[in-house]
Amino acid sequence: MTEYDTFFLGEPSAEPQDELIEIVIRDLTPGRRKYRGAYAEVRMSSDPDKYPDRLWPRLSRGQSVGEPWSIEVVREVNKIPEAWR
Amino acid sequence: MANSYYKDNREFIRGLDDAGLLVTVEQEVDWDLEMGAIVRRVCEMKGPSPYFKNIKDYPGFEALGAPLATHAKLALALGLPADTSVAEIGRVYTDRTAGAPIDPVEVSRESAPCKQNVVLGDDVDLFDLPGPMVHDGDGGRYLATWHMVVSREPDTGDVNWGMYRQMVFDEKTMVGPVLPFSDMGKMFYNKHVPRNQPMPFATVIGMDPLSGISACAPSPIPEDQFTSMLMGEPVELVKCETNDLLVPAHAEIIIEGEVLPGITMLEAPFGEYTGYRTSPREPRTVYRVKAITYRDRPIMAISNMGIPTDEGQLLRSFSLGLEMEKLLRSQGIPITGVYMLPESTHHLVVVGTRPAYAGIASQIAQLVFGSKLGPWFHQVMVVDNTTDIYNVNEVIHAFSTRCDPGRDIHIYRESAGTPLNPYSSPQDRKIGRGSKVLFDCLFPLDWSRADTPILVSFNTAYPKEVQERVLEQWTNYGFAG
Repeated sequence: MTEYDTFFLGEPSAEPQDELIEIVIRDLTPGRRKYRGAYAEVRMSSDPDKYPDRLWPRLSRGQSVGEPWSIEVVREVNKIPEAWR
Repeated sequence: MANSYYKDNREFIRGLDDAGLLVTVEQEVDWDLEMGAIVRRVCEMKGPSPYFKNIKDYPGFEALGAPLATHAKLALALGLPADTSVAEIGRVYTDRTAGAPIDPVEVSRESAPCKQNVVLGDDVDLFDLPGPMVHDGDGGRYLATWHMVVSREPDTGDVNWGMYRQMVFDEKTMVGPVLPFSDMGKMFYNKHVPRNQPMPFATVIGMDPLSGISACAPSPIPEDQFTSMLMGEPVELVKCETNDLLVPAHAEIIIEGEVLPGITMLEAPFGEYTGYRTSPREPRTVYRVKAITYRDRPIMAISNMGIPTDEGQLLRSFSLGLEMEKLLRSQGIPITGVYMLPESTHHLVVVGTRPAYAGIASQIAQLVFGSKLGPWFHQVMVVDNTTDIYNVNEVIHAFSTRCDPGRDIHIYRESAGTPLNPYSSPQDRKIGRGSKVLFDCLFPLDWSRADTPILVSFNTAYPKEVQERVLEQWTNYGFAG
């Protein structure tokens, strides 16, 4: 199980659950790449057991929400235009 | 003739050590919060700089924390004794930067230590550098906390060195705020964005201390010339690998790339210079990295923004205050000095003046708030020439006893502000708006001499000969010298 976190830009209760959405996640795997960010298409749920990986929510100024959610990462999305990669 | 100065970060580390302002940390420390926590505590204690010799996951890298977070370290960087007074540091700084500009000199890459290791193209990986997680809750790892970003105006060729925070997003991408009223912001938003043209940049980490001081200074003199003036001789620069920008040849790490127009990515939050995480996670400017060069066994530099005192607060207060002093003197205002209290996170400007005419405090406030630097500070306190502006006790005493809340506090609403201002409303922060205030601590000139209270202090309440005798006999009375 991979652990990620994300920053909710609004209240957690307003976050869409079980829908395919695009958010920024950070990989919390220990080591040199910890906190690597990625735009990704995901499904997420406040039910910690619904999806295969764990998601730790934070608010927009970094406050930890506390209880983990679960997440399915469908694919990463590269936001950099092709010409400038 | 060259001034006394440190040519690179390594000479400065030795200087700090010789002055007793360094602690060498031999045991392994974690880049993930532990280094940041140590530097934060050092800043809050105004302590010696930690020199980290072993960083978890990054053998071969070292780091210097809180390199210039006290006036003693600033004095040392200018080649002065560590116990030099703030006023004297300011005088030396002003004298050295008042003459004719000195051009930098370009050196060959063979004589540039920052070219000892060169990583290009697909091999570039920002996670090969020990960017610290500075505070718990930050939006990412911030490689650039004590650094400078080099850019050049595309039409005039004017060079800018400035401190713009940069968060590592992925292997080749950094993100950070570039405010539109900043020098780099003007170049980027006024020239590159309309042309849909990427802007070359170079981030310099672990530069010599005078280059860092220059990058914090709001002087109209280009920073490469300003650094040379502080040094008293040309600063040595070398050309980048992937663009024509010039960077300090003796720096530890150079990150080269392009600032991309037409795209933003989420950055922040970050513990900021005000001592809060004020600005939320938001879309910010994107830096795409093309090359990294570095010295053998490179030494990162880490500042840690939070409650006072960190480098940003100390150096911005110092240089902003001196620039304000130049401005006010250029207008013929009879000021005795300008000091921004670092503890105010450079929000409070204290101006000492001879109260020569009615309304002088308002004139000072309007000049200060109306200047190019106005968005960065919000409070002006004007005291008379009996108050030592560098003495916090005297400033608070003047404020508490001479500023009538009903008469002497003047509020300027809907002025220019910044998104980082904690007391502004969420809406005002979003659009960069804020209120400003003048605290006029001058007794009104229309009070008669008989009605004006008399200051009672050692310096004012005793004849000169009594003062001199007491000072002369001080140790004989049994007091420490």
